[in-house]
Amino acid sequence: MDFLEALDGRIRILERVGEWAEAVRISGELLAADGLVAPSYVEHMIQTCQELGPYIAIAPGVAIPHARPEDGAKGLGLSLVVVREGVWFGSHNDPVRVLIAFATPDRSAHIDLLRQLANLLARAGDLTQAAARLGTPEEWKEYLRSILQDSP
Amino acid sequence: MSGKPPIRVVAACGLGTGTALYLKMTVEEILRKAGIPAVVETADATLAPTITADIIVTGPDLAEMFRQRARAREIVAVTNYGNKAEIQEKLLAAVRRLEG
Repeated sequence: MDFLEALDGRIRILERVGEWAEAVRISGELLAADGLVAPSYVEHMIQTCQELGPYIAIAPGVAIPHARPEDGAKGLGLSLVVVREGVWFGSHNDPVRVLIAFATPDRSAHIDLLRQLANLLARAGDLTQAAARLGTPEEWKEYLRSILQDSP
Repeated sequence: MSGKPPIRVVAACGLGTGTALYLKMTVEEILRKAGIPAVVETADATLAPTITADIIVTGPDLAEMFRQRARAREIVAVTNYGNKAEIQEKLLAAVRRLEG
């Protein structure tokens, strides 16, 4: 599945959030609102970070909140939450400005999306700069389309 | 190189579904290009320390946790998953330590 297709307009741009869990919750609720995950999935996304630490912050300024397929994932999809002022996870990669949440119904359906994500993460610096620059979901879609097209 | 048995690498993350799978793809590519025969699998934070692997590749937080009790010979902590050069450098250094 194409990255933008999997995102399907689930983009939220925020100036700031109270704490990391709020940003993760919003990213999960975007997936839940479209029926891609059960509400329990959103709780598991937060619990996972509380129990295992901020490992989802996997590149400078970028985090990928998710839970297990069996935690309530119903479909394959992504959401994008941008926190323009940044949010702190307690990670080497703080402050996080771009959260890309995903749901996958099994352990392999999302491999293609992870490959495309790799192309985005290779430009993590670009992504976080874009967070300061881009003000609307439309602008984000255009931007993502352009960097995904550029990638090998 | 072809005569050597493959090394066993575990790509680990909290749940074994997201970052671990992502790391596995990168690690396989790096080792293939370096001509190092390897079997790469994914694991979650509970399973990974129990595996008798040559190398565990994971993020810094889990690496810290694994260092206390993992059965693997080497633990590689990757800070920026988007930086293939970092992953390659740290992984190949660990492979050299195994051989040395």
